[in-house]
Amino acid sequence: MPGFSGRVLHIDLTSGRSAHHELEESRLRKYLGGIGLGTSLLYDYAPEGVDPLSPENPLIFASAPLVGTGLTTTAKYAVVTKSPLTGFIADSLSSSHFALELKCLGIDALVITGRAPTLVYAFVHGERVEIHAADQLKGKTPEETQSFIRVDSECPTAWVASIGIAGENRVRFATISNEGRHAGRGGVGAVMGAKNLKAIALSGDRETSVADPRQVNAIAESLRRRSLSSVTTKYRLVGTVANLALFNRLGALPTRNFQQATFESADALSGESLTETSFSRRHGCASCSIRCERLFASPAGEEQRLEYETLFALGPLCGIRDPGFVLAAARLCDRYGLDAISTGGTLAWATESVEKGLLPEAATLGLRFGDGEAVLAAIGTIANREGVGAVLAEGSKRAAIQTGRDSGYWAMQVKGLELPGYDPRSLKTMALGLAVSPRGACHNRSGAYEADFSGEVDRFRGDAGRGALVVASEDFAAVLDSLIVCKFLRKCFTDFYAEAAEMLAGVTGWDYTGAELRRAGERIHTLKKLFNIRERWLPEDDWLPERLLNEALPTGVAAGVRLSRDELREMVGGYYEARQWDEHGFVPEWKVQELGITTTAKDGHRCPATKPDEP
Amino acid sequence: MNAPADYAEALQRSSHAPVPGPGPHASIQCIVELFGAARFIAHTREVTLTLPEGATFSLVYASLAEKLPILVGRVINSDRARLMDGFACNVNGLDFVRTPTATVNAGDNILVLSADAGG
Repeated sequence: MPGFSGRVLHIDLTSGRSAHHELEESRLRKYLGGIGLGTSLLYDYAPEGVDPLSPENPLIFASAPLVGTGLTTTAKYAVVTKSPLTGFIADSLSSSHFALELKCLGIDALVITGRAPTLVYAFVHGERVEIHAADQLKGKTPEETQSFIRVDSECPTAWVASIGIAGENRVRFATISNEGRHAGRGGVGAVMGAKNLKAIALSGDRETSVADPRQVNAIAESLRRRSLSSVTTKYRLVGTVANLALFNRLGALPTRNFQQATFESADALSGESLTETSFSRRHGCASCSIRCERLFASPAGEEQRLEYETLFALGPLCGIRDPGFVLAAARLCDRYGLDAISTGGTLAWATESVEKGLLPEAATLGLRFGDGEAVLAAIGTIANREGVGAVLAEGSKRAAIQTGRDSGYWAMQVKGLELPGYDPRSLKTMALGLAVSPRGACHNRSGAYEADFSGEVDRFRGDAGRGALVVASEDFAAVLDSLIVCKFLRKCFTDFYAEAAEMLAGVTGWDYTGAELRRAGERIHTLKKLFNIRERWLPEDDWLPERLLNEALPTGVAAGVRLSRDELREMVGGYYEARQWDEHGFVPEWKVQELGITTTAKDGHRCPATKPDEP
Repeated sequence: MNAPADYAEALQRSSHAPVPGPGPHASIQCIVELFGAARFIAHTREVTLTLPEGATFSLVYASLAEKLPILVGRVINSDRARLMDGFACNVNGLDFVRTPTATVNAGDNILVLSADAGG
């Protein structure tokens, strides 16, 4: 089967046994690979109601049909599991050589269940799986872990994905890291840590076969050329850090835990300023022609990758104005294996709690907005679950529940996942995207902000029509994330679905149309929702934090702009209607059947017997 | 929903409301703020343009091209009448400009930015 291997490798860490299983072609056609395939396997492998940190929760690494084909930006893999942060689906992407090596194993997915008795790493080479003791790796950074394993396994070319100390300590927003990149959101690293699995090392030698090499090469060359056109200039010249100054100007930069949407020191922290003062070098993932990554030199002389989300979360969100502290905090997150967005979001919540006289233990760390030293100290306590760090390691939602005293009001999360760097009050389509996303407040599983930045809608005023825009964006993202193609390539297509179907056909030999691909996007997204419903999703989960619904923006061009409950309710209703779900957001049986989703036939996606409360 | 008063207040603050013009043949001034790649290429944060009253955004781009020719072919299209694909324009941090035939008001701050807000 060109483009696929038609196999999944299942490793049970409890028994130490592994086996290859066949993957049906029909499943691959329906769900493609990456996020889609991972979601499909999650639905089957995860017992209903499974504790995310229990041995039974599957941790799934999924490859995809375009990986390894030479098509630019496709060296990616998905990690899918039940999130310990949200209790719903966690689907994260990471990239580069580890992704290529996963494909070289001759499998489409790696499913890990069980729990090793002590810390181990798994070494998969060719058809063999070895489980090695990893006591000596306890507390090591992902970078140190890869170096060690390459020696220990006597395989200097192995590519390694690992957790840092945060994952070992089951911090609920721990990441899985490879080559400095992270499967970052939703706490997939905590799931890996709960399995006592420090790392996975891969070494494969299978080449990806494609059905029509000549066609695929022609598309690859065309796409590579287009990837260097003006639509990617931002990513090639400045990187995602370019967002900060602009968002500040547009009144969309979350600052001091979303108390403002402008930051008075944005200039000093802007990507443009950092590029002038601290730029070290540009880098890129394997098989990528865009090369968006930017490394900056810290005052200590260390190189540090920085993306907009890290910059915003560890900068303005915590009131930090000194780029040196932001770079140092980003470095700690990388070394410990922490999601920088959730780290910043949780620290911002803790800081505001201290300001309001709560969380006395956090006060002893000196947490206050703008104090970089305190942020650095606090990150260490989270990763090690020391003192108040044990509370913060649970994420802002759980920490607020533990703390009480209405502190949930300023816990800026959706479904437990901390918000990314887009203020929903001045980006109303994005507000809806954040509210309804199956994995929680997420800027990657839809690009709903695109509508707000297009000029086609009023970004300050929401309406029911936004539902269709978010649906289109989610389905588009589902396809990108399942083929897998980097989102930074998305504007290089003239007719994405037709061109992507052509790519898929060239790789797999399938007769696949753009319409089918669009349908696959809807199917994949719907299955995520069905998984959440099975895991006790309720309508009130598709909602935004109270602060956003009560406080107008105080500063900047959007000063005075609000997001009201009625406005959000209207948008959510419009979204359910556009999805053809029922008015409460449950998926009707006919829709499940229409999409050909068969894995859900027997279980609980149906509406509850009683009407749920309105949010 | 925002009340109409909220809107009026925000718009007033933005100074986007048209400023009474001095006369039919007078010139107006506007400031072009460059963000991201445009700033990186031009090594300039902003420039002030003097334009005839009633000038369109096409004329803004042409004037900007004259002041910062390095932007031509990279940010401003070689016809100097529109931006390259991947770039967008916003007025006063509020409205995204959809058509280059729209007119500029005196005192407008025109933001030239990357159209892709992904991060």
